[in-house]
Amino acid sequence: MKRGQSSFLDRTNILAFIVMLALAAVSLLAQSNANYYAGGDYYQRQVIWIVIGGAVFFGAAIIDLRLIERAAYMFYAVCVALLVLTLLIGTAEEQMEFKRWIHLGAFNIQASEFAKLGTILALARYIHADKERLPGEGQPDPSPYDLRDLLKPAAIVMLPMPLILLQPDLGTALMLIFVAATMLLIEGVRRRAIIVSVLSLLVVIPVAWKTGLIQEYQKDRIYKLVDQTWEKVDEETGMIIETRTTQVEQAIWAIGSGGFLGQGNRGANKARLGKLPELHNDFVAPLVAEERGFIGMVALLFLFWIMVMWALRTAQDSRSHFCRLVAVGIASLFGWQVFINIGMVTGMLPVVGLPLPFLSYGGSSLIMWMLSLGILFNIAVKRGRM
Amino acid sequence: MIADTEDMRIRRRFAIVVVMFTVLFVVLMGRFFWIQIVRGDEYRERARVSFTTTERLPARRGKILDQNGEVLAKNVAAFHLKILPHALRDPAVRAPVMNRLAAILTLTHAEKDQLEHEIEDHLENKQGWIEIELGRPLVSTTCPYDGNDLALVTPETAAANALLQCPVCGIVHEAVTGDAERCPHDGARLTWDADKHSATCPKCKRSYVTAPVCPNDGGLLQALDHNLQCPECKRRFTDEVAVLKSSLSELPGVHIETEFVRTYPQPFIASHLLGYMNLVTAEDRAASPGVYPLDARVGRAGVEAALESVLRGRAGEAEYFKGADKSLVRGFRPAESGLDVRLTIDAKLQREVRQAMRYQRSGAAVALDPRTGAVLALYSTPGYDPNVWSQGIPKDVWEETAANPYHPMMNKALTAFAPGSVYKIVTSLAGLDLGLVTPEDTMHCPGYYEFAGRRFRCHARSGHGYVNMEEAIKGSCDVYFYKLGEKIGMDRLAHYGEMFGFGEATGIEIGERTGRVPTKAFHETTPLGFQPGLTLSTAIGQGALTASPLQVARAFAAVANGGHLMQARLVDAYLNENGQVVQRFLPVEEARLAATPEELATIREGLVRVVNDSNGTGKEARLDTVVVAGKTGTAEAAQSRPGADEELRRWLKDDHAWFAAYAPADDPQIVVVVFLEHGRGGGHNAAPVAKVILEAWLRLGLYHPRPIAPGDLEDDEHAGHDHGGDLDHEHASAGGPP
Repeated sequence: MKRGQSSFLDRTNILAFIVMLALAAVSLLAQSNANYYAGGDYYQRQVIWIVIGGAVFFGAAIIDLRLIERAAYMFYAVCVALLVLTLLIGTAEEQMEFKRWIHLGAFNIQASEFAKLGTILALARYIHADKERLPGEGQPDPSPYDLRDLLKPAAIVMLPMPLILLQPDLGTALMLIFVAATMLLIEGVRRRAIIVSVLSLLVVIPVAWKTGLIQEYQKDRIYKLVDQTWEKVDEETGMIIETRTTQVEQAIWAIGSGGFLGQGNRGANKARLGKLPELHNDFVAPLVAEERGFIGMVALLFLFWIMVMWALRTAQDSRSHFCRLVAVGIASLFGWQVFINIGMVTGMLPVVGLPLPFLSYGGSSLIMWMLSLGILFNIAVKRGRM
Repeated sequence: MIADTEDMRIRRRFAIVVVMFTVLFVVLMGRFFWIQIVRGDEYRERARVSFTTTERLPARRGKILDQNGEVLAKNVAAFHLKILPHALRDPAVRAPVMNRLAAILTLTHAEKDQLEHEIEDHLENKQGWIEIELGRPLVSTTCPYDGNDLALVTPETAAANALLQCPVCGIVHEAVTGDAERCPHDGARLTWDADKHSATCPKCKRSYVTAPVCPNDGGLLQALDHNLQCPECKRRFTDEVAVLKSSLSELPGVHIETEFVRTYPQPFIASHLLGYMNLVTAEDRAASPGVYPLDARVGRAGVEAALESVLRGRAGEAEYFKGADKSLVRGFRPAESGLDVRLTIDAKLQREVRQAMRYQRSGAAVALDPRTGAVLALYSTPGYDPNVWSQGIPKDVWEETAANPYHPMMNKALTAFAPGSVYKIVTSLAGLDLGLVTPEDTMHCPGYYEFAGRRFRCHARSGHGYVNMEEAIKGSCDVYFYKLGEKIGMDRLAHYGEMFGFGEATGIEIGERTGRVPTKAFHETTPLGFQPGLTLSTAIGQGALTASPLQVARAFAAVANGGHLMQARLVDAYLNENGQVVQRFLPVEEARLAATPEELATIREGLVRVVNDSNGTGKEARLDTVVVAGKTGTAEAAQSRPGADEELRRWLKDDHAWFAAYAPADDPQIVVVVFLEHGRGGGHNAAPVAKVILEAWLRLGLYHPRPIAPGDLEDDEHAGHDHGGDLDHEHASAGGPP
């Protein structure tokens, strides 16, 4: 392919655009069927969010990229402020003790969704500015990051992290770490720094486990994953109040019920699938898997994979350092979130609570993704020239 | 240079990230392959099982019918009213439901309050459904008091006056005008109260009012619009079940459960034959896994037990999603009803047999068609009420039954006792067939026979004098048969006994005792060993020999029908729900007697003379209309039982009385065996009972005289058999040759 003359009409860009439309269509179909199984009006609301998200997408796709770079810290700051606000005035969903939403009239804002993009932008701007600093002879510093250099980027990630963990939203917090790590991996990190980071994680996790920073319910999810005979026993009455036969097990049964070709559109058991918690949200993949079978899931994973690969190619082709970092951040956010969500609903990973990009219901999530992909298209079309 | 290297490094890092994400996505695909392809079926099954609940659809148990289709055992629907209190937690929901229930069930205020208390109490303490006890069954189409089918109230049967019920005390009054003087039901003069508001009839105790106010408590009376009436007790009802079922949509949390209860409309005529039902045991459930739920009832005796697998059918299954709107899952299997069983029994004859046996303390009677081996009646006394036994046996009934010295639960028609002289047909045939004696040979009976230093007595102390075989049978001469038995020997006699089917199963479908035909080998296993004198005892049906009334009947049938030993049969056919025959059972000839027609004729002549000679032992069974042939039996059976009172001890000392007969002698169509346990004399006690049975048989028109046709006489040998086949193929239920 001829490089340098990229435009919107670049075949890969068109392909990515079509894939994005396809994902939006799958999203609407899945939400509509989730309404059928479990009730609710999520489909109608998702339509509205996709329309709004479309506008956001086009706005982000044509905006001056320099404006994005300049607004990065501001955006980040707003996100952090919203996270603080969430903890102060946030609302919880029924029966849950999580404060994840800011109630705002007709809709709720989930600040943690935007915080992911905000962190990517802020990190990209910081690293870009850091590397563009001209030490000595005015050449960019190509040397990989050492431990000392990692402190400031780490601070950017660590500022929103406790705010998100306090909600508590372990999934989003983990995403920040994974995305930042991927971005730094592309930038290059000294081996020593990697080893020290991993070692410190090995220290931090047991400490967090012991000190209660990791919540009981999150520990349970890990127990459930590891221990096939996991049971939660009420200490007073001695009665089993929860067994492994809960969410994930039911999700796996639903997925397994799909078999090779699936049960067909709305062909799953209404009463059974309708009882799967979070069917519109994090557990939308089992619905698609039961209806469309293995074939459908392979196709869906292929669509996701194309998006990730296209995003990485966009990053690689970016002329500007900032754009490359942003593209890598969005690509890895997309890839990790798909992997963790599906890994969690198929029982490979603990349930940490992450929506599936595009497919899961959620205004904040959808707008965030539309915004991110708009920026990605912007970068792709302009080949990362600021 | 540096920039180039940096570019390459970045490219390598990108390659790592590309590979990493590709690998991650391949892992996800592998995971889906594992869940959906490799273990898909397993997960699908688990998903199905864990989210559905299986409801058992009980199968209808087959009916038991007599040969004419008369119902001997059936299923009657019983209805249970159930309420889910948690559906009625909201008082705004509960109030209209309670009012509606009270109206449909005509509950009094007190009953309604009690019901509400029960519901509230349940709400606080328990989960699930409660069954509402009304103190009476829900009325549907049968009278809850006497079980008769209710009839619609017609203008003719309707009471002249409206019925009014008091909602406070529940008493029903009849509306009359203040000038009525006499009870409209029986014409008795009414007793009016002082202010002429209400009256009672001194005869039928009905209460009359002139205004819709209860004279007892002032409650406002409400009109009853019962449209059904019991033709027997004249009580009036509404089909509550139908009304409730049609109102279920307005009655959340109310459910009507239908249960089928096994009922025997004529409980005592054939209790041993039919058997009864009771609760399944752990062993039953283990023996046939998956067949019985915990509360199932299983056939315990007689036909109910023997044909349990035919009658019970197969329960169906309906799968529902838990909690949801009871939408059916794909796996739905309807229940398969059990097959109806049509017996060869004729209920009319069976009732007559019961009548004939009604004065007997303990015993049995069997009627058999000698041509087919079909059992026409089989009765044992005393009996029991299978309805009581099927409802869960009350303790007092159980104790009473266990204490009854006449063993009401024992089917004596299929239990082996000492047969006495009825066994002499075996000794006779053995003697003739072995050529040890000719019909004309005579032996001398002085009243006893000295053998091995012991005096074997004849029942006629003064002796029979010189008798040939016919005369020996007629007079039941023991000495003749002692001498004959001595010649035959123990084992050869046993051989002929077995030829007549003694000591063997008769082929009847329900449980029986096969009795014992003793041989030398058998006696050698006993403490006393074999004594030659035992042969003499056996030859007259005593000693260690035992036989059931049915075995005796079968042996006589073989003599009557020309030597065909037929299998005894109780089951004629299996019928499906629509009354169509699914499987038909034909007569089976099990063996043929090794006897020439002449030999059999000798015995038959002897049997005719038993009844018809003026000094025959069975002359009390003689009939004027048809020639009866038969043999008496009086078997020594003195027993002692610990703890027996005087009367019982006397009874136990008495002989068993037997009478075995067939009729008519020249065209045998029925064999009747009467056995009276400790009933004293075969001739004096058993023969009259047999006579009553045979008379009933004739009166019921069950005897079909053969039209006399040319060549009829030569056909004798095959006649019985052909006739039997004929009957079985075409007219087992209709009766009578074309």
